[in-house]
Amino acid sequence: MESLLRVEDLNVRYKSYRGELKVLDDVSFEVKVREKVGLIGESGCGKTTLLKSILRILPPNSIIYKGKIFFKNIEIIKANKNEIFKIRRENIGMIFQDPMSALNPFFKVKDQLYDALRYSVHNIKSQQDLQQMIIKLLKEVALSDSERILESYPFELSGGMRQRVCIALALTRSNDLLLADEPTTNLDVTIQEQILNLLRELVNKRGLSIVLVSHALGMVKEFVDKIYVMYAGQIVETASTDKIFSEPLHPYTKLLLSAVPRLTGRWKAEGLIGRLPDYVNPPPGCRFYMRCQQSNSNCKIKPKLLKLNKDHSVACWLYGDEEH
Amino acid sequence: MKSLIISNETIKFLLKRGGSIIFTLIGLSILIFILARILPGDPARMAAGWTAPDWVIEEMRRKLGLDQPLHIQYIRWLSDVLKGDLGFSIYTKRSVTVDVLQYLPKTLELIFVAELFSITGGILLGILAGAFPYRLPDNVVRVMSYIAISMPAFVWAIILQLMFARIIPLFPAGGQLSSHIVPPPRITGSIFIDSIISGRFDALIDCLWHTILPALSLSFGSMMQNARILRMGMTDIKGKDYMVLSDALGLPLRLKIYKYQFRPASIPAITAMGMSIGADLGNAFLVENVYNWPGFSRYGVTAMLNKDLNAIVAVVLVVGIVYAIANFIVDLIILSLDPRIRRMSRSV
Amino acid sequence: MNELVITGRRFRLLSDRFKKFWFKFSRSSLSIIGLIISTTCVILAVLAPYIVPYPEHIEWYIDYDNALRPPNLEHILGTDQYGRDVFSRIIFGMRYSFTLVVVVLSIVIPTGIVLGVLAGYFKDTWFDYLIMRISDTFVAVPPLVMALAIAAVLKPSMINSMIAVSLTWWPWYARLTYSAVSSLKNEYYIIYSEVIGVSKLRVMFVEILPNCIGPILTKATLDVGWVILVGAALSFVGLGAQPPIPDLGTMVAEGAHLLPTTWWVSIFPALTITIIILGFNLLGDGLKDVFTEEKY
Repeated sequence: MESLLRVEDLNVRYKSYRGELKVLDDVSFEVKVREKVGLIGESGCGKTTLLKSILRILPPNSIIYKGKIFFKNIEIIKANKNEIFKIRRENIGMIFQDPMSALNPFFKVKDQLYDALRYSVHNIKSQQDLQQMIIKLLKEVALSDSERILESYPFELSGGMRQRVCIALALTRSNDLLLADEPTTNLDVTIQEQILNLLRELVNKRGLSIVLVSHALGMVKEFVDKIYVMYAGQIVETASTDKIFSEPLHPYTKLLLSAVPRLTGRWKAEGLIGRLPDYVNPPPGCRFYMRCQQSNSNCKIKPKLLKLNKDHSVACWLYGDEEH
Repeated sequence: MKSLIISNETIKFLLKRGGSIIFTLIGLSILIFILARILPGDPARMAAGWTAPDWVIEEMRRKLGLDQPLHIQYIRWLSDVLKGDLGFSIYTKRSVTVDVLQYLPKTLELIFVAELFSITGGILLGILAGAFPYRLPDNVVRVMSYIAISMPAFVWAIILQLMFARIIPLFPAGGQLSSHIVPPPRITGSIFIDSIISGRFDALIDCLWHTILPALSLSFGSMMQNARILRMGMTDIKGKDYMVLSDALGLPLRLKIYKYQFRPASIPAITAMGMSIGADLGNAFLVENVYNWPGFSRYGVTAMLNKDLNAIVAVVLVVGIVYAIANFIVDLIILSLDPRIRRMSRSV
Repeated sequence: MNELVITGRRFRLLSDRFKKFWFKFSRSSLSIIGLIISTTCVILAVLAPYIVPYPEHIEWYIDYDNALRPPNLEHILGTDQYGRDVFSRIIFGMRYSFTLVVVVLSIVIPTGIVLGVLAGYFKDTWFDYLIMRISDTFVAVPPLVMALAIAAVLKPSMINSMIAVSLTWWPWYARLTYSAVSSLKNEYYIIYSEVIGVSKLRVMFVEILPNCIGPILTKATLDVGWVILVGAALSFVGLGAQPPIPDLGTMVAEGAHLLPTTWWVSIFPALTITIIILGFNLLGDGLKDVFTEEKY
């Protein structure tokens, strides 16, 4: 399959009063056309930063220190304003974590959808066109009663409805790629499933690629083809979904998977001890070194992401011996 | 004003605000009444004059009703006030109500022009600084605002008068009309309105000319304060998720700043503008003195220096009413801008 | 030995906190400028009797031969209409201004805090309504007008302008503490300490109050400037300290008649007021930055 998005050795840092936070460290990442990719890892490991750097919407205190991002042969980091705006308006849509705060509370849903459509690739000739397009869009995200919803302010809608509006907004953009940043985390459990099903349906129907960031490993498992595991700003393992769940290699992946509570069996979750390293002075080698139970003296040197076979790579000294 | 379609929440909000204003004004009237009666200084003695013999003072006390218990005095006074009788001024030897009607419009027109400056200037500078934080315009506005806010209005008044009226005589140094201009016929008491009604554009222009320096002195501080609050609001909003979303959608910069960023940021700024009207009302007491403006505040200062009790009480009450009206207007504007107050049952 | 270790650690903790505070504070050069201006002003005011060149010129002193001299080497800021050294009077004027500030703030802050904490803790009771309605009444008129009116009813003097400013100022502290306390009141750690039976007074003043100190301290710093401003405004219109007391506002008012030829008599005191207020504004904003949580 043809590659749609390719991130190469991306390093992103944040300025803070304690010094630079070296968040993303040599992240490489690829999404192919029509591929569904999952990105998992605990909170604060840089998943959102990665997604935001793809659209170049990082906060002003951030620095893209090193690296390249290719989207359909356009180098996003070096791209000029027009190219970036074109990509934001035509190719990539993003869904945010918290639908409560992602919509502007001062404007009706109608206004926000209108503006989004007005500045999109869609060819809008008249007000009627716009109206029809919006109603079609709302139907697509399974929002009936479009009259009422269009006239509502975001705070008058439920969390699930707001996230559907956010998805509709993202759909006005994503002709190629959808970036979904924990789209279900802030929703009720009963709604999470619905939203995810909706996303899957839309992605399949429109033939989009998607990057799904989530904590809900069970849901990710059913959704995506390929998984990237991230720890403290580094990609530690990547493989097809089946491989990750059946034979995880990296000690962090193993721990992460075992931390998920299960309904069956007498098995008890181990959980992860400790917390993420300090980003100002991260350990020079493997960033998981301090929490890893299988660490050895090698781990003070940074392991590269090693390709074990066609669709399984891992960055750990336990595998591949002296090869790297 | 389509957005002002009256909903239940709107009515509730307005009733609540209106109620609290009336409540506060009643409280204010009690407060100043008590201040005027309880604090040292005998109003009867002041009314009769310092050299008057004791029996004259007693007579005066009875005449003024000061021998009655305090709550009776208050009710009497309040009913007089509600009838529009604010008492007799011992300094101007006229009814205070007449004085108020003569002087108040002149101060209101000064404040009006000052607010025009401070609101338009504040919005422009605030947007400029807030849209591009930590860049050149922001830094210039920031330094300017520190200086403008730190310099008291009466210092501004003196310096502007010195610079632009005395050293470089561009503007008149004081008064509201030049001596060679015949004042327009008195209709409302405001020279602006009267000269427009009677078609006296020479008087209008002359009056505007006289208004510029005092209005500028009044408005510098509040203008920069408004700009600062708006700038703070703009940068606060800039970090919000919904602004990141509008970035992600690739909305044009103009639309983003003037619509999605400005509207939410304007709420605290408009509240601040209400406060700045208060500050300007206070500062008018100093600026009118420097520019010899024949307004209400100068009347107030004269009354205060002469211990003209009825006039002092009236001045405080009228300023309180003007301030309350200004704040009510501010509330209405916020109501029309912020849907959360309009639509949500639990009002903010 | 053990105690020594503990004291040592405490000291280190304290110095760590100071270091963090200083780091955040010193990020903005404006804050540093504010700190320098304000401390210089305070030091000058405290040491006034020892450093001014002409301490005898402060109050009653007449030397018409030297009247209205422009700034020169002997009188760096010139002399006024009675031949008094403007520089000496300004330094003493600062002393009076700071006295006003110290007196007013030490009356107003404790009063406001106590009332605000009580009203906030007993939110939605009659006590809350009473205190907050009274404070609404006091702020129903701009503070300057209220202070002028109260000062007018009293006899114009230094003490009375202190009373007038204090009476107009307490509601702001009451309201500030009130809003902080009434939101903190519902935090879980406060509810827990109530549940385990900590006394109400302790909850109010030991558990809740220390969390409101940041904004109160910031406001107090900013208010140093504003109290000086209102004090100067009172004496500027003649309702505050009376001549010959070298109050900055009085000096500006007296000198205003001499403009534009002998500008130094009123412009220098006017600029002094501005500089003091500027210093404390910058300092206060610096503190505000420190006490506001980091966004990123």
